[in-house]
Amino acid sequence: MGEITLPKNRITTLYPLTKCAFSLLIVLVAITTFNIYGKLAILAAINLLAALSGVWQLFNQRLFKSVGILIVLITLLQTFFYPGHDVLFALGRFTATREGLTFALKLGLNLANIGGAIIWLFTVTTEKDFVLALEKQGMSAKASYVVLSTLQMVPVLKKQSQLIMKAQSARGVETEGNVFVRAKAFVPTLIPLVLSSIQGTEERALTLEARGFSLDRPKTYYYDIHPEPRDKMLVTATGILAVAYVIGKVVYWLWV
Amino acid sequence: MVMGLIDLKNVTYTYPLADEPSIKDFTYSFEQGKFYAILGANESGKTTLCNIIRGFIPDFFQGELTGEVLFNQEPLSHYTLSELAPYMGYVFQNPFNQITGARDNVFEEIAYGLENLGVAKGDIEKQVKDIMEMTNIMSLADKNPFELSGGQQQRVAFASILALSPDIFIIDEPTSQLDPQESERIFDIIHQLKNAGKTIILVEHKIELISEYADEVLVLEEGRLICSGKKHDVLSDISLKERQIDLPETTLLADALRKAGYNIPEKLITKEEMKAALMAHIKGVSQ
Repeated sequence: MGEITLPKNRITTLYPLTKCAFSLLIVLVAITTFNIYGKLAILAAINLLAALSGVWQLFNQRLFKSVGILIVLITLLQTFFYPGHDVLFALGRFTATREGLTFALKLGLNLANIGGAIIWLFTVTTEKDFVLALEKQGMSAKASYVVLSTLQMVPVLKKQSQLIMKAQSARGVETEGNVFVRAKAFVPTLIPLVLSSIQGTEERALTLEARGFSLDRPKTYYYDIHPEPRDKMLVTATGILAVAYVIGKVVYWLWV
Repeated sequence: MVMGLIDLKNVTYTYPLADEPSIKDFTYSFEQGKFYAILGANESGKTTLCNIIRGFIPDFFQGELTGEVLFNQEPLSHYTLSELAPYMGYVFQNPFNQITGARDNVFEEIAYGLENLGVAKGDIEKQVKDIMEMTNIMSLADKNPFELSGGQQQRVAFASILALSPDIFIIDEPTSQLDPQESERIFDIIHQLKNAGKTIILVEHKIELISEYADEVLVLEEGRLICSGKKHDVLSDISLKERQIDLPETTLLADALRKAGYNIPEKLITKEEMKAALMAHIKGVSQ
């Protein structure tokens, strides 16, 4: 959390829920667009948004790391195995069909667009801001704590597991080698990690109570964010756009 | 018995699935503004006693608790754990588990309790800065608490409770990961708290610091209170050594000197007291 410094511009400084509204609108348009060119246009729009936000490179890195490999895999599988007659080329016993490629591209683009909308949101918004905005919107303090602490604990647990791994290795447990050797080393690593985490959770729950976590009184937010008038305007505009889009889409389906 | 700020009457507690009680028939009255040190070997029930006083037992840890625990003459069970936060601060043994995980920098981690209490933003800023200066962690303000060393986390955990400014501080080994200089600083802060009228209940093994700063000492053995009273009375009791209780070097030296035939006054526990006694002795001999 907070490792990458976001560029400050008109988009990144928007209220998290405003950016969330944009993201949801993109997801809505993405799941209701069936034309392959339309899907490509959405991907281009997300890229444009990422570029305008000053995070184009980071956004694409994250997009590739999260859904890129899946898209490549889906494209290959569907191109060769989706039923079709229009053969494009053959690789041994397998034939690539135009129907398969079209279906694969549609599926892949869907994934890229939906994933892209969400990835863009979390590239231009810190988790801390997003959760705080949700909490101020009525999400329970417990839920926001679970989200924030989980995000903080993941790298900590990763470090701990590496430390345990090193300790086990120093005691003669084989931790390097093929999959089976690593799998065998996993158990003696996992048990102390899980047990210490359970013990830690108990004490951390008491720590929270010792700091008045469950007190039934209004809390102060030392770090605070507020929506500005432009946010209210943009959320309203996005809402109107979404409603207009849905009505337009329904009318189009009814007529065509 | 004089009613104190916290009164425990015939308290016995057994953890779930345990055969033996961890605290046995414990009766004591903790008075306001005093500094109590709890001593005892491992597994003697020190942390369990702290958990009972703070209300974590039986509210969080199940098991069987008998006897009475009163806070301001009212049963402690009338309060929820969070309701006690403004009155009783608790510093746990393991600093890592005291990092809440709710905040990603030290400043906000310390401010977290004050946020929960609904303290005004301006006051939070001032209080946290003061506490950070007091505990010598100002340079850590922007760091992620999880990325600190054990000693730094220990100071952050202590600062987080100091920020709440409760009336009672229950502190379980606050200097276990600190160097002598930082340990001294923590004890100095505890001493300041005592002077400000706060009640301190401390579990600590650094006996020299206890002999210097504490008012009263309680000694536990297998869950039973075997000895309690003013620090000079308890810490000069050489028989405790046989019960695996650490005693100040001064007590041990005084005992050795007495056995060697020197006329050393009773109940010496600090180095300063020993120095004064030896100087008086030398002066007496030279005259």
